[in-house]
Amino acid sequence: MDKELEHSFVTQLEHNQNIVHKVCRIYTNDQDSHNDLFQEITIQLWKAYPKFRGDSKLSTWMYRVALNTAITLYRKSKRRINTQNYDSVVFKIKTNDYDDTEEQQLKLMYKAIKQLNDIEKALVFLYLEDKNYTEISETLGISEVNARVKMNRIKTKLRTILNP
Amino acid sequence: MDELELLKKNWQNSDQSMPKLTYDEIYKMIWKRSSSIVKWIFYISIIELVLGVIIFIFTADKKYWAEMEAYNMKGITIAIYIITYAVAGYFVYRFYMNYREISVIDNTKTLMNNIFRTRKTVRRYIAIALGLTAIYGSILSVSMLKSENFMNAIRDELNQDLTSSQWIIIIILSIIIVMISTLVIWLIYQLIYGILLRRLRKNYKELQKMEV
Repeated sequence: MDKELEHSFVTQLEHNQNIVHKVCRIYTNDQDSHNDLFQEITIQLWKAYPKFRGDSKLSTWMYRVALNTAITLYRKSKRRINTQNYDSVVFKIKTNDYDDTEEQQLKLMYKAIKQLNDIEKALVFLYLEDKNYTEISETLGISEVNARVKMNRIKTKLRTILNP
Repeated sequence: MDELELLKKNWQNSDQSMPKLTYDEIYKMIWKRSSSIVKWIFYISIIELVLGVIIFIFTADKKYWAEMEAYNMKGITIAIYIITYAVAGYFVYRFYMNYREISVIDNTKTLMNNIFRTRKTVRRYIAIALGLTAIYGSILSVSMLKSENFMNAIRDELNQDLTSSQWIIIIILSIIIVMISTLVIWLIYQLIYGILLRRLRKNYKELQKMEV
């Protein structure tokens, strides 16, 4: 039974690992911290897995656990403040389909998002994942109206950072 | 906003640029130790909860009981012990129930609330334990001052009786010492939890700000 559970968990996470990687990308600045956070989220997902009944979508459940771990449970250590590998992480985002100006814009956008606080990052993350405000509000435990208002404020804030 | 929409498009097509972990790599990860703050809070809280009880067990030897008897304090000491154990038992139970409610699949706000509630239980326990110690200490001091044995011991030591102004100085000094040590304990306490819960508090405030 346990072996079965392990197998189904690891298989499902292997297929959906991008969700976790994306959360790590928003919340960390270098490869070491990325791996660290990925590991902690994996542990939390595994601990919570027996309670996952399948009545909600696996991805919804993963968003919740991953964001909760990044915002609430995860303890940053000193060495994770180092940002020297920052550019290499950002540059991985670029794809060949975009021209230089778009690349530049994306890079600046990323830099701006990194300046937001943890809660704002969570909203931006869910927004980028194309989640509606109902799901955003349920994930964070705030009202839908407030999630909408906050998202608009974040957009203004990002605009200010980009065009000072 | 153009840039954010651009990022959104790029974000959803970014799957190829993400790291790819293999089945084995993920399998190994699920057996690693968690370093979540909930685990830290759990260990520290357990230490706090049992600390009082452990100190009691180690200090209460035969000699201690003989002294208590000499000062007519045996009855009240036993009563204090029973109260302390009952209080500790109650708080261990409350702590356990609160701790069990911490669930990573709750929404962020509920999760944070449950973590704070667990901490509050332990903080209340510490406050009550300190209070009980203070009450017990005062009763003990008064009984000692009143007992003949103690007065005789002081008289033998100093070859004279203490004047009332000397008594007042002694009492004021003891109060100051007790206050300073309480303050130091409280500061250390604030420091540990300040460091441990700083980010959590900041994020919680941020969530609360949205609700206004």
